[in-house]
Amino acid sequence: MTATTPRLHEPWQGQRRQRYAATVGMWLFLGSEALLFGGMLVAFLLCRSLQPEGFATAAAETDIAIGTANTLLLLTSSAAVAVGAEAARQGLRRWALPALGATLALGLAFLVLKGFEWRSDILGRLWPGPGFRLHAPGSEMFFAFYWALTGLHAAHMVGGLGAISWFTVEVLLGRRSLRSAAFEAMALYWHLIDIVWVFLFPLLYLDGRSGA
Amino acid sequence: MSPRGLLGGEAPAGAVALLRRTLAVWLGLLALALVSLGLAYLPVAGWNRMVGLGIAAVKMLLIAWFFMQLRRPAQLPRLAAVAALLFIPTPTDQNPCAQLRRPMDMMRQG
Repeated sequence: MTATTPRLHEPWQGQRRQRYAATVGMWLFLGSEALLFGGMLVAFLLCRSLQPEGFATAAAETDIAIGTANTLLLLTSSAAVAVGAEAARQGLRRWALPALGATLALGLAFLVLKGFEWRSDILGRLWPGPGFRLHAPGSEMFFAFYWALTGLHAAHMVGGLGAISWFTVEVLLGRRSLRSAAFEAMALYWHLIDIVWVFLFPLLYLDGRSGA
Repeated sequence: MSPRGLLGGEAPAGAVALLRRTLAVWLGLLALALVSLGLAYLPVAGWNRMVGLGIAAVKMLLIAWFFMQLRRPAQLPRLAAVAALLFIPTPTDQNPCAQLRRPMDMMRQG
């Protein structure tokens, strides 16, 4: 069986309205996500304004090479999912599926690099608590934020990768139309993950590098 | 590499336009990321963090406008996006951090 037309769900009477509802619904969900991450970033900036030297000292301890590589990987994955979602909307199967596959590969590469970075951080005694290596006031608080923000971000990435995999496999099995609105909604979610990282990069990795 | 060479067969016109637009935005995003990396190592009179956040804001706008399709004339997604983006702190003295800090400064000063 091959699904060529997206299934119409209640209460929608047409594909166009159903697609629009999916997009608006996802944007509303992204608003709640912005509250979550935005609140944490505000708290981070507030604490940083109270302990600027300690935060800058701690930020200089993060792995700039992996942080930069992950930034480039995530920006590229955002471009790939943009191509994948738009090609899916146009029914361009030979373009959509490779682009979605590339998104998956880039997202997995991000998580693998992140795993190596976390391992190095733990071995370098950068986990807050007894035995924490840095002594500058505020540096431990920086790493409490670092672990919370990067951990939450990675959890969102796992969810996004799961959704991309699920929808793509359903298309391959003929259970879901390539023109399904789910791809556009999922791409919006993935872009938000990218935007969150775009702000984490200067705050967690670039701060304190100039020595000023 | 041409779109034809990438996947084999003749590429539809819509796909070629999509690829060209995405490629331009993607290159812009990569360039901005590398610029922010380079500027982080230059002493910019203590403005490094602001510069980094400013470049991040430009990247966010590029992603939202082109990749998240806010350039399409659909009002509800735009309204939801503006409401959502308001929660991302802006790097100015008027940001929520600066507002939140004032009571704490007053407490410290007694």
